[in-house]
Amino acid sequence: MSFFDRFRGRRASRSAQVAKERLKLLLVADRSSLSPEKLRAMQEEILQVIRRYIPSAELDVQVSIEQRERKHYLVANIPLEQGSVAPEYLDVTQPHHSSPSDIPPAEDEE
Amino acid sequence: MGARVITITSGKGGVGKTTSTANLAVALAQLGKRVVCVDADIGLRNLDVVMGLENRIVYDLVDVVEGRCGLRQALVRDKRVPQLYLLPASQTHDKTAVSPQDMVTLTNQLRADYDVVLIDSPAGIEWGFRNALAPADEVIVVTNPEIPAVRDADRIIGVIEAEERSIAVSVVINRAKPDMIRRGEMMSVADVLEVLAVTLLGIVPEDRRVTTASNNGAPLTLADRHAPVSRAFVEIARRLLGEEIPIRDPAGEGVWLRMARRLGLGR
Ligand SMILES: Nc1ncnc2c1ncn2[C@@H]1O[C@H](COP(=O)(O)OP(=O)(O)OP(=O)(O)O)[C@@H](O)[C@H]1O
Ligand SMILES: [Mg+2]
Repeated sequence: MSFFDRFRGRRASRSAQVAKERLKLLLVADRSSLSPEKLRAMQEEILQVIRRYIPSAELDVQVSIEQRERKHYLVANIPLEQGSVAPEYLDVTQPHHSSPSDIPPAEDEE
Repeated sequence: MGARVITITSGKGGVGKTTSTANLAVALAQLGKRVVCVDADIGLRNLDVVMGLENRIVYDLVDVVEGRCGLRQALVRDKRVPQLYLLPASQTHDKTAVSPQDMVTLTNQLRADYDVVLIDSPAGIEWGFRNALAPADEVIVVTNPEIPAVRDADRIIGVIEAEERSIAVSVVINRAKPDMIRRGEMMSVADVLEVLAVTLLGIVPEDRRVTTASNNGAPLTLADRHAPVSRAFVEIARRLLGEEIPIRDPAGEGVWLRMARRLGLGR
């Protein structure tokens, strides 16, 4: 489960849990010198860009912060599937891709 | 083989650096090591009082650095434990009376004759901390399971890791309250380790007798070696000497946290 999801998802019933989540957010900010507010703004902007290219990403995309050892990473998981890319961004210069409606089947299905 | 120089620091004030230094010093000396504690909190000396040696001080660290006495003359011997000495801080001088280089020179003089030099660092990341860090081979960061203490511990660990030379860092979690942790009212050891992601050296429970022992001028490890706090410090001392002793979660979940060093936890 990602860091932001955890932060949003869990109920604040136990103060230890609240403390831990607040601390995590605080340390991301301290270590990166980006305020929690800026981090969220950046996350939201990245999401907007992804949605522009991949409309179906609305539901599946996750931009989250993960900690490995003592470092934090901004991590995006973006599903790239058939038909997920917005028509205006399809690469029309390649053979067989002459129009958005003429997309060949994926290779492993041939 | 020269002594190991171990600095005890925290970032935030009042989390238990001086208490840890005094108790660890007693534990290490009782295990047969030749130990010197250096109070690097110049201007705000405390270690002498916690150890109960304040009435026997003649010279201090600044006297040594400024050449008013020899290093040996300034060492106060603790008569209750064999081979335990204190180099007191000065109460009157400013902390800038001593430089990081002075601390390196001074501890190098001690290395030949002792097994462990423990340096009690002042809080913060300023001059006094720099003095305490300069000669350190290893650093123990003391923290409490509370947001401000862990945040400052993280800051200090970042500063230490940014040093050019590599310095081993481990953390001691002090004043853990098992009943509060069990009720979810205090962050658990696993929580703290997950965010700090450093090696855990030990967990010391909260105990009012730490204060009463300090009132009486005898660290609890000396006054009652069976107290849970004392046991915790003896185990920490033995781990420092290389023994593999599992760390038990004080909240009684039976988790052996030592195995889970370096962020293996909670993921
Ligand atoms: N495990 C403990 N249980 C109960 N009280 C404790 C414990 N550890 C420390 N204390 C108390 O907390 C207070 C602060 O401890 P101590 O002086 O060791 O902290 P410090 O980090 O050296 O502070 P400073 O930053 O001012 O140098 C003291 O009154 C001490 O008795
Ligand atoms: Mg102190």
